[in-house]
Parts: sequence; C-alpha cells; structure tokens
Amino acid sequence: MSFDALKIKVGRRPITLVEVDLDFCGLTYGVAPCTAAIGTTGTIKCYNTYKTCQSKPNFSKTVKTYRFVSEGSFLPVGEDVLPCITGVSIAPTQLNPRGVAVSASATITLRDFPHHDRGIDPYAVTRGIENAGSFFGKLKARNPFVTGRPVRVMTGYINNQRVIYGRARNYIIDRIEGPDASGMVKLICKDPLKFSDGEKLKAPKESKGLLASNLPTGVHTFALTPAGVGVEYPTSGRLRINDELVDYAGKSGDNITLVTRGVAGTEHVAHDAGEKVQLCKVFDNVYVDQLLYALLVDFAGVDATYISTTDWAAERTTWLASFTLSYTLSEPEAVKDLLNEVLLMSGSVLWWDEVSGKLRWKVITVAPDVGVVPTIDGVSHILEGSLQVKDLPNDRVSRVLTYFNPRGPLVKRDKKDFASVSAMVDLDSENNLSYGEEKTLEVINRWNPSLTEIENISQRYIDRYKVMPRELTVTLDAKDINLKTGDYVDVNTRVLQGPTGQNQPARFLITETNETAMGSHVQYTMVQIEELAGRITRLIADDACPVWSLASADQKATYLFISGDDGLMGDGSPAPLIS
Amino acid sequence: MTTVITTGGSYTSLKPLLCYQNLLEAGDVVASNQNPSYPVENLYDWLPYDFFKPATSGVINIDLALPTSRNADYLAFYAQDVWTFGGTIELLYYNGTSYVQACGVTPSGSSPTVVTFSEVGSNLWRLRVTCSDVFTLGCVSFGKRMELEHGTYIGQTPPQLARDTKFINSVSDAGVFLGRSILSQGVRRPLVLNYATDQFTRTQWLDFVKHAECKPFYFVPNSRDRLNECMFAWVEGDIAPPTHTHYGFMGTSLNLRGVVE
Repeated sequence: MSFDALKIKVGRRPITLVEVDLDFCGLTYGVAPCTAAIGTTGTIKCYNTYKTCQSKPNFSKTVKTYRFVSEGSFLPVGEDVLPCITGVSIAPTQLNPRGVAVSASATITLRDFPHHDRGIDPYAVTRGIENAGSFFGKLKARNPFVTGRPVRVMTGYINNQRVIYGRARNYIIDRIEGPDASGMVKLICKDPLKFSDGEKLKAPKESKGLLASNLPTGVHTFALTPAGVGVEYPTSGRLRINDELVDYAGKSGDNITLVTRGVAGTEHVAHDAGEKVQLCKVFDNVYVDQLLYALLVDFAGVDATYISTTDWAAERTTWLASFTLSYTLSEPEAVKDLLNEVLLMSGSVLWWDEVSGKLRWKVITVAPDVGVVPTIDGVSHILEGSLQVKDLPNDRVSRVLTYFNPRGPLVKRDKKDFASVSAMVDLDSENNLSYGEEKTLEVINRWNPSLTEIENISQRYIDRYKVMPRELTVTLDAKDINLKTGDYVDVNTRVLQGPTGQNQPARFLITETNETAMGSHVQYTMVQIEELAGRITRLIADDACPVWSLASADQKATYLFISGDDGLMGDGSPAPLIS
Repeated sequence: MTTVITTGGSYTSLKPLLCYQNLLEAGDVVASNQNPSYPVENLYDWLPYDFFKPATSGVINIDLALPTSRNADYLAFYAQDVWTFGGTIELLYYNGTSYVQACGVTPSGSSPTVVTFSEVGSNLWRLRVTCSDVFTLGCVSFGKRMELEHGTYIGQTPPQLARDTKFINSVSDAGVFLGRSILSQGVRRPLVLNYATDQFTRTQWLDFVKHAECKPFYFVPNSRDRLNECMFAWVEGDIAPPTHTHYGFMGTSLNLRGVVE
C-alpha cells in the first residue's frame, strides 16, 4: 500500500496529519549532566523544554514530534496522534515571473482539549501534582520558543488497516495563536522564503565600526571605534568609508591596515572621525545560482539544506552557463530587493516547493527541457465547473530595456546611473495589425556587462511573453495531485481552440497549487507557456545520454537525436519530423 | 463487524445494554509490563486516541485490586490491534484460590466489542492479553452492565445503519466519474427512554446520566438478536432530563454520537 495507490482508489478516506517538531531535552531531570534538583533549582521537575529547564547550560536539545490528525471516526490504532484538527487553510506559494515567489503559508486550526500529560510530560505519572489545564495551554507555556521549528502538513489517506499513507508539505512555524475563549488554537506556518523578505535582512550586514580618528589621504592605517568592534570584521576584505572603497589585508584588534585606497574607480579622499566603516560584500564572477545561494544562506539565514545546489547548478549549466556576475555590495541592501533584482535580470524564478521541502530555482523559457510533459483534459482530469480562463494583458512584453554598465561601483538601481541600455523589441506584436501597443519590461543589470548575455535573456522574455499570456484555473481530482507548482503541463480542453474550432492544446506552467479539499480536490493556476501546434524544441544532449534505442522516454522528449538517412531511428522506428 | 460473545450465561433479553461502569477506575491497576510511554492508565481513561502498550509480547496480565469485592457481568473494549495478531483478551477473577476465567474472546476486528457473562464478584480481577506481538489497547472497561426496562425498536436506527458519512465526488468537465472521497464521522442516533418506571429512573438512569455527563460508554440497542451491534458512544448536546409521560412512567431522549468500526 502507498500514498499513490490510495489516492486513486474510489472511496479513499482522506485524513490530514500535522507533525510539529519542538525542542526537547534528551536528559533526565537530576541525572548528570543535568544538575537540577527539587528544592534547589526549582519546586517541581522541568518538562524537558528549554523554558522550564533548571540546568540550562546542560540542556541537551533533541526533537519531540507532536502529531495531530483531523477529527473523524476512522482513526489510526496504536499511533501517537491527537485527533483535534478542525481545519487546514493553505495559502499556496505563487510563482512570480518577475521576482521571488509569493510565500506559502498554512494555518492549522485545532481544538484544545483536557489532557492527562501522559506521553507528553516525561514525569507525568510520578509528578504527584494535580493535572490541570488544557493540552495547548500547557504546550505553549512549556514551549514559548517555537518560531522556525519544522511543521509537516500531510495530505494522507487511511487504509482499512488504519494505517496512514501521506505526502507532506513542509513549513516552519511562525507562531501559535490561542487557545481562545472557545478553545480554538491556530498554528500559523510559513515557508522559509517568508523569512528572507524581512526589511531587516540586509546584504551586506550593517557594520557597526566607525573611524576612531580622521583618516587623511595617503594614510593606510586607522582604528575602529567603539572598542572591540574589530571582531566583526574579517582579517581582509573591502570596506566602504563614505564614498571611497578601500581594500585591507591586515587587522589587529580594532586596527585596520589598508592595502589600496580608492579602489574600483572611487575617489581617494580624506575622511573625518566618526565616519561609518562598512564591510562590503564582493561578488566576483559568480553564477546566478551561487549568488542566490549566498544571499539566502549567508544573509537571509535560510537553512542550507533547503537548497539543492546540484539541481541549481544543473539548471544554470543548461540555461545560464556563461552568465557570470560581478559586483560589490558596498552598503546594506534589502535581501528581498537583491533577490528580485537577480531573478528579473536572469529571467528566472525562485519558490518554495512545499512537497520536496526545497527552494527551487528555474529559468523560464519557451523551450523547457522538461522531458515527457503530462497532459490533462476535460474528460479524465478537469472537474466540472472548475475551468476558468483569463487573459493577462499586463504580463505581455513586446520590448525589453536592460540598463547596464553602471557609472561607478556605488550606484543605486536607478536607470540614469547606467551608461548603456539594451533594447530588444518585437515589432510584430506592436504593430497596429497586432496588439498595437508597446509593452515594456525594464531590467536593471548592475552585475553583467555582456551585451550578448543580456540579449539572450531579453530574447527569452520576448519569446515567452510576446503573445498575451493566458491564465488557466482548473480543479483536478486528488488522483492527479502529483502535479505541483513549477511543473509544466499540457492542457487539452474545449476552451482552448484553434482557428478551425478544434481543441488546440497548449503548454502551461503551474504557478499555484491549492488543495481546496484536502485529499480530494486540488486547484491549479497555470500560465500559458506556448501553443504546442507545430513546435518542437529539443536540447543538445550531454555525453552521458545514451543512443535512441537505449534512451528513456524522458530523454527522447528532451534531447535532439539524429535519424539515419532512411528516416529511421536506431531502433527502426520512424523519426519525428520537424515541419 | 462488531462481535459480541456471550459466555457462561444465558442472556436472552431484547433489552438495550448500557455498559458504563468500569471497575478499573475503582482500584489499583498494575500491568505485568508496560512501555513507559504508554502506561496502563491509558487503558481506562475512556480516550481511544491514547493506549496501553506493553514492553514485550506474550502474556500480559493487568491486575486490578479493589478495596472490596465488586460484581461484574460484562467486558468491553475498543481501539485495539490485538486482532491483527490473532491475540486473545480474557477477563479473570480471583475465587479465593486461583484466577478463573469470566470470559474470553479472540477479536476479529477493531470494532467496539461487548462480552457478557454470568455475574461474578471478586476484589481481584485480571485482564489477560495473550498476543504474539506487541499490541496496543485503547479502551477497556468491565463491571455491571445496565439494561433498560424495554426494547427500543420503534423509531430508532440501529447503530450500524446510522452512519454519518460525507462524500466528496469528482466528476469531470465531460461528465465522467473520476473518484470519491469519504469522510467518516462515525454514527449518530438517539437513545430514547420510554416508559421507564419511576424506580428505574431514580435508581439506575441517574447513575448512568452522571457517567454520561463526563465519559463515553458502550451501547447495545438489542442485546438478544443483535448482540454484535455495539456502539462506543457519547452524548452530544444537552442531556434532557426525564419527564413524566404517563402516571408512574418517565421518558427522555439523548442524542448519541459514536463509532461502530
């Protein structure tokens, strides 16, 4: 039995399982190294949580998983689950083709209840005090520090043997609200990207050091103030003092020894005592994925395990292999703004994939290397009454203006600070026999001066958006739940017609996945990538790709294979024709 | 399918059973071994989501010592996986020299189960579970069953048929049936008390109501012909007080919710 087997079963029994991982001490009260003792460190034993710990230096962090399931009568037997979920509301991630995705969130509503503490409080049976209060009331009092802890919201099914098979969505706790007067509790969860968009998150981080005394021209040593602030600076790097960038290679306590003044074309001038000494972040010939990784992990505090560097590198190798980036961030800028700048400049999207628990990054093109793309239609997939089609005129792009070659290293994202502009125009879509209107996308590029690279990305934008994008919203049965945000899907439905009135299938990118009835119905929002008729795109295969006869269906749908002179492939099958 | 097995007696009444008295709550309970995370207290707290779990498989004795001798004529249990391992559940009492079986059953499913037997009394009782694997047992009670004075056929739905199940259908744009989800909410049915004598209402019904105000119970509407239709039930909404419907007789109705599977 498996999730995939149960989701297609008629008469399946959906059940929602939520798992919450909270900190828990692995020690036993009063047993070394725990030094707690009743009468000395407290009047009652702790609850093995940090808040109630009486020997905090010895707190040994492990994880205790609390498991909740939806209220219902058909529940697992012999499983540690508390049937108190009354509702789950998921605001799904929304892919944003012009920047960071809209973060996902989940709100789980739970009903509070009296609880005997057995299985929760390790000393419940021997504590010898009257059990009082409610489950969540006690949980919150003992665990006030929950922000950032993992939560898994599992869509699942329970089989006749009362075993749950599920598929998890991964979030982290934002906060727990309640219990309120009616005994309801809200567990509010976010995705990790939510925590990267705070205005306080900056790259580089704000430096606290100031010039302790005047720094005349030609002088290469100075001291930082306040005392001790030198520990915040590495042993070498680049600094910004007013509008001058300087490189240093020596640090002793609060004393800095400069190597070069007035670097990167900045003016070498004198500075007054009290000027801020800002540590810069230098990016030199890094790839887009590497820059995104650094911003997210080093400056936004996103857990590195959420990023598959292998997948990101593969995406870059396919689409942005020669697009390298160099720039010095000389003053703190909001990480969110930087992420949006890099994504727009590179024509890529970033979003939280709740199912895999990973941040996914993808370059948006009209020629996706997606292998075999699933097809959905109005007979076997799209539920009645769910189909909605909407044109997105504001998303159409007929010209891309990219401002590049910044006038100096200290510019803001203002187009007048750039020396060059690249204009990529699709005149066909602008003339009066077509849309008759210019739709301009402006891109700021501080990072890469290559006109060739810029034009490549501009062309992708034009190819992708020169036809007015269509947005499709459909609801599917949970049997098709494996489709998820970021996937491509071919849609064949009566509302997508060609000039003859026949169905004209089109390829869409799923931008939003919303499980409207947990375990039963899933609503997908998708935007059209291309019309399928008469268009085939294939990639040049790498060395590891086998010959046609040995290639997988996925590989055959992704890469370009050459047939023999007789028009047959290696296995004797007729070659697909490019017409 | 719920199984109700009658042993050692001839209980042939048509009358409904309400099994709520639980002697396990009246004395000291000790298990021969237990997993500390799933202590024996979980066995008789009337909560099906927690459970007793021994540390090992084999024969597990759960001994009850009462301050005084108490009578029992039923054993009921629910939320167990003993059945998946082919295990047995027995209730024994101490007759002064040894433990003697009052009843025993090999459950065939996880449904609520009531076992009745001839009334016996003792201050030492033993629940014995013999299982080839480590089992879990959620709810157990035994004690004196309560039977209503009359059958309750008219106007009432048997628990097994009173399913409160919701459906979510999937039908495609082209009208094709694509699937269905079912959401089981257990069963709902009323418990109607008709023509209860003043004496019964005062001496027995009131004790039941005091229990039902706090805890679930086991309900078998037809103990003669449908012994297998057992419901682990609790009262929903207010408990309407009985009123005189005829001279010397009283009646009331409770809304029950529960599970039968």
